[in-house]
Amino acid sequence: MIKLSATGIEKQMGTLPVLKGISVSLNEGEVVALLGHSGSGKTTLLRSFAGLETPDSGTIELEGKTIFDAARGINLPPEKRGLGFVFQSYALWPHRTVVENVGYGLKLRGVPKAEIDSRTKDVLGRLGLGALGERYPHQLSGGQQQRVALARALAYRPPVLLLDEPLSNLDAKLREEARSWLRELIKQTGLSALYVTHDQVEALAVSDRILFLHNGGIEQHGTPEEMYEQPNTALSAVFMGSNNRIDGTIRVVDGKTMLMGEGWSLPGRAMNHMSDGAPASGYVRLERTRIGTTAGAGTLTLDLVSTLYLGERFEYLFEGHGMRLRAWGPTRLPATRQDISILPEDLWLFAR
Amino acid sequence: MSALAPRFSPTRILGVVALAVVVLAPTGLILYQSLLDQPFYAVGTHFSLESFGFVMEDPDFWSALRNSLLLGVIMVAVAVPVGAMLAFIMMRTDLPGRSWIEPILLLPLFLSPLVLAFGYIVTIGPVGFISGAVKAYIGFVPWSIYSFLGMALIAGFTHVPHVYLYVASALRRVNPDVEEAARVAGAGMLRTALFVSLPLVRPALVYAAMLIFLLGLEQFGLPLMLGDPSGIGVLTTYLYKLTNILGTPSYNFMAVVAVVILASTLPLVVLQRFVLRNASHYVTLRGKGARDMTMRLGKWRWPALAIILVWLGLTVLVPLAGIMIRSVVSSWGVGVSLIDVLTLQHFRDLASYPNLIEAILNTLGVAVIGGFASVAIYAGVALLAHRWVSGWTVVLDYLVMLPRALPGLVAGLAFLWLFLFVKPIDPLRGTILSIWVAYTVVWLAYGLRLISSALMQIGPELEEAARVAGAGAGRAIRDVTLPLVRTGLIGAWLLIFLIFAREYSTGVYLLGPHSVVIGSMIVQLWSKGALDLIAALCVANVALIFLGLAVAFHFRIRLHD
Repeated sequence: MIKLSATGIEKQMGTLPVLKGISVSLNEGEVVALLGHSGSGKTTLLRSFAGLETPDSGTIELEGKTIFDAARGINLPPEKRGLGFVFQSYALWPHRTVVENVGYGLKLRGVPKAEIDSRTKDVLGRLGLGALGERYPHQLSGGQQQRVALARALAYRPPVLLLDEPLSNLDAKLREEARSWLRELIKQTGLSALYVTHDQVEALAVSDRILFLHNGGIEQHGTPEEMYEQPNTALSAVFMGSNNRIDGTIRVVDGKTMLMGEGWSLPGRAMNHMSDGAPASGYVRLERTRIGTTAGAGTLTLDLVSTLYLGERFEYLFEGHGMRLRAWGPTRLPATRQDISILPEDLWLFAR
Repeated sequence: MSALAPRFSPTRILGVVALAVVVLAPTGLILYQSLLDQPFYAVGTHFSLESFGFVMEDPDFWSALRNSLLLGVIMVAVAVPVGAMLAFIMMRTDLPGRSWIEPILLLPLFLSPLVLAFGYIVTIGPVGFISGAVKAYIGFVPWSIYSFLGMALIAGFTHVPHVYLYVASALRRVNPDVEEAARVAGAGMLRTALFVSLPLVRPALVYAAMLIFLLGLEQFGLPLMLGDPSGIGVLTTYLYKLTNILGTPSYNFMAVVAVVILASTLPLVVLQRFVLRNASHYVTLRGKGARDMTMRLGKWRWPALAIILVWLGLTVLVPLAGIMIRSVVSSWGVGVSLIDVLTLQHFRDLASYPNLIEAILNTLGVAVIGGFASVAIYAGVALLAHRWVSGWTVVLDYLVMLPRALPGLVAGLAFLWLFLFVKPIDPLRGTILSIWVAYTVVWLAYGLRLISSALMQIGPELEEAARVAGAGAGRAIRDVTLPLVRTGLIGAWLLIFLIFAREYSTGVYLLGPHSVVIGSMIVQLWSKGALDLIAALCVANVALIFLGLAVAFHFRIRLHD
């Protein structure tokens, strides 16, 4: 069942188009990530769902009810939509205690005092904030503030949770822990959530589906696996992971597509239509860039020019044939010429 | 950009329109009156430029205009360099005692120019305490404050704090890193100050200079007390004298002078706005915990302190002490020991004039209760424009500029006419409410800026969070916005209290049996020569101001940014 959907959302800021006719739907119990660079329009889209921005055209439906329709002049104010929203800055009210922050939505809904107390206590308990109810936001750590912001959005049991970069203000360690319990929490609660982030790893980890936005349009959407393994465009290939890019020309030999340069050629997988002799770029994930020769793989022989020690692995930088390639491995390698191999299915070819 | 306030909001538009009426009506009335050949209420009035012609033929008008412009120029020439220098010394050097010097330095800002002028008259005037002592010693007084130059210099010196405030706050915003970068690159202290710090605060200097020139054109108290006795007039005193010489029928001539004043101040106000807008290019963000660069004065520490103390003595201590002493002595002069002539008679006299006591109580009432009501109105207007994406906010912006260009004297006159012109509000005339209305409009821009700057500090998402949680627009303002600006509102109330307690020129034309306030009472008593009573009233006024400052000090309310 579709909980929340938008159709043909367009928005301009001045003369600049921010959203170019976006359609998206969120099924019950699903977490959908809106992924993109800053300026891709992802936050504007999220805020449009909440009623904090007014699109120029399009419609938005919540549980089958139209809450926004530019053509018919329907635009429910934020307070009438009843959605939960977690702000990037948390936006906790500094003059209210944790309990008051979390209970505010219930108070506005005319819930009796005793019930507010018990429900607030319940949601704080679930988020591990039970002991902090009487504190003020400034007396909390960043991680605690983040959880209070989430508790505030969950307290009145909204049909859909909207999260705007909820983890971006946490430090790297905390962020990794938070993303797993955040997904678990959403799944346990049975909520549907739209999740804005610019961090592709976070999007992969937290969501069931990813919508990759670029310049106000949808570049690609799919499950995390599809997004990572089968990019539709060079842009999504680059955005979703760490890659080596190899520029060359296309040669079709015996039905196999080859990427060729001066003194080298690599078999690859054509990701869009390309003709013989066309300029193209090949992308290969760093973890699929293998050291040594592999059966069935194309091979390049390059000089190892530097090695970085990253703790759990080494990162090598190779040069040769006018290209620079990076690869990962478990041991330090001698600084000599090395064979680098790439399987044809790992080298994604996009026409330039 | 938030779209929380709908583009089309009838309540908000209605608010802007209401404000427009309150602001435009008095100004419009002045313009209308200036184009009539008789007072607007007379039978058979016609549109004509006769009144302009009449005023333009008066040589006194031209000398007043020339004096006003010259006064502005001299004030800029005195106040800007001195204020900038003081700001640099206070912000960037290791001068001893900076923390307690600053509040004293700013004191003239809160005192009425009338009070200061009177303080100078009783100390360094021709028969003042200090002049008398000097004359007894060397046989003559080598200066005269009843001259154009004397008046202009005093006006310049009493406006140094205005410049100081702007330059100091600009210097506070300059990241000391850019100055330190110059030092590291090999520039000396003086070179750094001249080639890095000075250019960075140039917009503040330009803005302050324009402000001082504007205030110069609006000067009334000092020219009345220091210039007028020797026949030196400026535009405002010329306007004031027109009333006395020709009486009420001269409304059309007064309107012409008011239009001339407005025509010279309004362009300045508009220009100031553009300077302020461009000033943001010069803001250098400062990192966390950035410390102000401290220049070591070395052996100049103590001489510098001595110069500043002498300066404080001249501009603050001398006039204030003069008023205090003057209010408790019956006579003075050569051979009179002040101890022998001590008396509280002036204060007893004060008590026996019922309308003087009423003036003091009215002043207190207008400043405390009226100040509160004005802040509430300013907050209402500020909330009108808050997070509103609409062309109407531009209208609001320009509306607010108009009262800024109205000197208090002219604004008071305009409101008097408005009460006379619009019959339904005529009963207000002569009541203390009329004074409050005029004060509120005159200080509209100032009050709005105080409150807007508090509102700007609230992140929009705090209000958005309330809206998403289910609060309507009004509820979000009540539950989130207002509680968060409470401290700012209280600070604004205090500042408006200080300003309303000090205000004198706006009430001059609105003076009636029940609309007396200390400031306009002093102006009236001055024309009667009742110096003993003036001294006692000045002390009462200073006491009110100090009360306000003490409250601010106690609650650690910042009176400037």
